[in-house]
Amino acid sequence: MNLEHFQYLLETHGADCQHWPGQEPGQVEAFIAATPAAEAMLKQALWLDALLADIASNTEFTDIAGLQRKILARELPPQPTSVMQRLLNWISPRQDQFLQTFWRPALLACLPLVFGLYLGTQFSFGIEEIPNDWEEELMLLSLNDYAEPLP
Amino acid sequence: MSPEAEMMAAIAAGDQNAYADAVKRYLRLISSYCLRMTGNRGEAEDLTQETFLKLWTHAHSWKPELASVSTWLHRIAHNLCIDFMRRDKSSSKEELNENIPDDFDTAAELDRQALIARLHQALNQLPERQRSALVLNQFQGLSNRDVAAVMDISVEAVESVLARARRTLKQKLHDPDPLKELA
Repeated sequence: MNLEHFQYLLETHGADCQHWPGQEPGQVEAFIAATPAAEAMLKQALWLDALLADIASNTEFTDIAGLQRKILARELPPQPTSVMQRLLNWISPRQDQFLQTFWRPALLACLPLVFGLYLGTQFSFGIEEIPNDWEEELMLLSLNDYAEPLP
Repeated sequence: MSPEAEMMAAIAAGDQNAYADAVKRYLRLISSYCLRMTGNRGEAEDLTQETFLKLWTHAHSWKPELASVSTWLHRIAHNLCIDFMRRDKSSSKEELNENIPDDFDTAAELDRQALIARLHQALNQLPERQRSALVLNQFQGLSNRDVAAVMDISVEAVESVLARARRTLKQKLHDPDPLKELA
């Protein structure tokens, strides 16, 4: 550590050298003890910190309870919700007791039906499709020669 | 899920009790930050109320991996304070200036109270970024990393701003009294 680095740490991290990053325990203290200029800088920084601490203690709300009452008494707007959240709320409402009691069991009861419809559209389960041969029959009929042979 | 995350999830779900708990927990911290930034109790009160209203309406946007609730609230309050200070530069420091005596002569004669008043004035005169960084770090007790998150700048930039702020304050305390010079 040199004086320049010491000054940098002092100005960027304050006078509490216990919290300076990347320092071995006792390293800063040893440097201060060996460097009178560093000690003078530290004293000045501690003096400034003490004055700032005085300012900090003078700039606090005295009536914090009153402010808390004001904030909590304020009417809160409804929570903003996204389209997806609204959809989810519609599918599974949390607030409405009536919907919560009836809508959820109804949705639950519908699930096997939806599942069955899906399976039905995806798989044939070995049932052969009945061939539609009406068109073929009509074509054969049209090809027949129905003309009566002349006597 | 951490207790902090549970609280925020409850607020996002519309739980007013969780909101009241959050107000009780963070009110002192946020109100003092607004007061230290604006220097005006009335405005600080309004900005604090607005910060907590945003906590209610934006709780769902809090991301635990990015910042703690305290840092996140400081960021909201910081943005509101900066907006206010830019909007209304003239009235922002009126209250803090009330306490500054004008009857001291030289630096040697300054007693501690006068020195504090002078430091207060110097603090108010700091550029916006230096003032914000110093208040967040020195008064609010935030780490440099958290200050960077609140101010949306890099940690290196915070360190540079803090160093400049401390240097400026020391310099202003050691300079001859500007009030005396003007007289």
